[in-house]
Amino acid sequence: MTEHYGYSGKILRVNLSNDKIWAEDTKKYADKFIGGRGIAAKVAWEELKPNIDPFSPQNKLIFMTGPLTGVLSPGSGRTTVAGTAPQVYPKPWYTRSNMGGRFGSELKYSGFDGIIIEGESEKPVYIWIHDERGVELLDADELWGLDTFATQKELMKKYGKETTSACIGPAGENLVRIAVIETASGDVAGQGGFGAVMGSKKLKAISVTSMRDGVQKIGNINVADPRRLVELWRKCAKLLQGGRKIPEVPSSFMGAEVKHERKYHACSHACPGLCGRGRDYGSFIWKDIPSKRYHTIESGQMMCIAPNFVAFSTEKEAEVKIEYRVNIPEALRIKNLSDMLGINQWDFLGGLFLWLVTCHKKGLINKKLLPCPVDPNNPDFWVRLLYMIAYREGVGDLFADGVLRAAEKLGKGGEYLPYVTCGFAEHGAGRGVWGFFEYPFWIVGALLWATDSRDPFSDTGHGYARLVYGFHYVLPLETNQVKNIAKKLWGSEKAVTDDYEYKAQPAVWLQNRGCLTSSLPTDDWTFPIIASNFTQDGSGDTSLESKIYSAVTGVDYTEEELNRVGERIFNLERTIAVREGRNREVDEKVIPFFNRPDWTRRIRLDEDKFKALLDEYYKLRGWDVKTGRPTKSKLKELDLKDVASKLHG
Amino acid sequence: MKPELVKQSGMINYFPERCTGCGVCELACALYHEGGCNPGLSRIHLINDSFTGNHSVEVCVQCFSPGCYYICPVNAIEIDPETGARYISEGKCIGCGKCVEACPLMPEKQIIRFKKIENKRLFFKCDLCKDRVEGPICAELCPASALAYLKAGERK
Repeated sequence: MTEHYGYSGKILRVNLSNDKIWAEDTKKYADKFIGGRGIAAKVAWEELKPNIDPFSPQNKLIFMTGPLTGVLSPGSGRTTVAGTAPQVYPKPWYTRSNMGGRFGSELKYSGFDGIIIEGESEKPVYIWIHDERGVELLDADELWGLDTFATQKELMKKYGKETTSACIGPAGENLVRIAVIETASGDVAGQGGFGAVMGSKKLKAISVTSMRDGVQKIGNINVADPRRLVELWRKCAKLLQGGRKIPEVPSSFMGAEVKHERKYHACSHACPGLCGRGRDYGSFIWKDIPSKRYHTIESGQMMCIAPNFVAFSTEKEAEVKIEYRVNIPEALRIKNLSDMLGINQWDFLGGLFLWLVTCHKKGLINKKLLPCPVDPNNPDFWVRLLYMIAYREGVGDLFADGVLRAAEKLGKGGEYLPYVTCGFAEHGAGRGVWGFFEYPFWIVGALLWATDSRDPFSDTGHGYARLVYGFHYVLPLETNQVKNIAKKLWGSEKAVTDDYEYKAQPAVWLQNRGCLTSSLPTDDWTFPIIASNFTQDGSGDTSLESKIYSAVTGVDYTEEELNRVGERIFNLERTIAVREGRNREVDEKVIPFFNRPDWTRRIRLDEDKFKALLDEYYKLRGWDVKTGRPTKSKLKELDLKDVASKLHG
Repeated sequence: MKPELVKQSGMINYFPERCTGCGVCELACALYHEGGCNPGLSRIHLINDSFTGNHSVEVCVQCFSPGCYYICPVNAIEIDPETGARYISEGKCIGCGKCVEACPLMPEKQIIRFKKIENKRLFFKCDLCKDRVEGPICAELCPASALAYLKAGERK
């Protein structure tokens, strides 16, 4: 690592059990693991004991940025959050989540590349960081109990409007296993339930007030080659949206005309994208919309899965038909409420809610179980359900531990659980809310799901979706363009055609790149820029991350060399998983879910072919085919000698 | 004594309804002027309100009659002959802060700020990237066209 280029240089350490605060050099980790997910994995490998209770003081909560956080790199404001995750079912293990907004950037401007929190406090506290010398652990009695919006606003009132905070709401305080860590009005580290880890440590918020006047060396993120970085920025903007654009907000939303005001909103610092290219799930912020029902005026971001608070309709072929529509002002209120309480919207909408409605339709829900009728067209039902979960009221206490645990306790509804594996709701698997993933694309999805420690579609699988469907900023490409790109990247056009062949190659590539996406970090709705509507052949430029990394840090890496770092990170994570008991048998637990017919062509997984594909995947990875363990030689080849000797003796 | 009549200046024009609050303007500005990224070193200042989407930008309007220029005791504020930008000559600034007091937009808006070098205050403000061939970098890179450069002759 060249002299501080791209990094602030320090990682903050806080022990909440004894109020000890100290810092260590980022350099210790950065050369081999870059940042974000990579450094988090290294810390977890060295310091997290396997199979611990996520709510015990032994668990550590790792916030980590990377060299591209807070610099002029598309969507750079991201932060990885990692630790032992309470959402994981049946047994919590190590995994990671990620959030946008500006929190990571501001943290770096205050002099820290990351924060590692250990121990637990006896009483509610929050951390306030205002420059390298000013880190304070403060009493949070007055903040405890507040929702995430109120907490942030309170801290802004206290420390100035440019204070940025990551905090938890009542759900996190009450150890809800699907509680998020929230910053701004909808940027969350959602998957994993890390909000509850924060709650168990009695840590309400981490607040950063970076200096705006009198900046010295602290917090100026130096860039090795500024001119080159600007050139690369222009190139990205060109590939993403054809250059500078005047935003045009579409007049319809979720299939209906809208009269309410909204505009495009960059949900991650430095994002150039007018996200979603006018699609419903793009990043919009809604402005000053009065909700008559709740007598409130609502503003807020509604992106990704959140538009499903407005409306949803299952595919025609679905066994259980679910359809609903809520007025936009009321839906925005519900969406804001879930953010304020700090509940994971992906799991709530794509998991719990769908399961509950399905069970209701199938007559599996006892009328006495819920205090109100199950009616998704009625906003009061949603509001009631959210409060019940966040405060563990009545049956909400069961749901707060995740639907899988709830279904187990209730002893019913197991066959309708929209959960792929290890406690994460369907995503890119062809059989759920986002059931759009068709055969054969979900074969790649199945491999990703089989070998990851969480829902792999956020930092890993999105690139594939962009190519095969045209997603995020990409509108659908022509079939021959898709095939050519697949051939170039993964060696054969079979990577995107009806077959089990050539599905392991894209999976391995996507995983290695996913590690880079959350380590550099970049934004997974943007990078890798695998396809573009602004080139002749539809191809993007997958070498951009390595070029941006080189321009920022001054360390020259080719695309292949950087991919290698991604591979190293993925293998380290796998080794952590192996230490927690992961093996081929656990990987194959995805099979029953994919044995369900998919929603578009009713195709089921071919179990024999999939097992052969897993063999191929392990071989490509350099892992033992029987056990799914990284081999000694593979780990050594990836410069993970110490890891190899600990795993293999 | 100021020997010449103050030349009119161009300015950065802001369209709040287009602004996505991404902050690229600040990052690009600091990168161009200081070789690194930090909003505290940017000449343009974004206030991102992610709760309402009502973002705003604070940047020097390059006054016709710039108070900062007249008040500076060491003539550190100069007028660029090309763009008309009122800029602070870093070598001359003594860090007294009189320009801040003279600015009609401050302290409500952050127009002139300072960095610290060896404990000495050095003030800086928007110079319209006067030496940059492509013009102001914030306007060039703003992905949503929320910033535009108006030349002196185009101002009304």
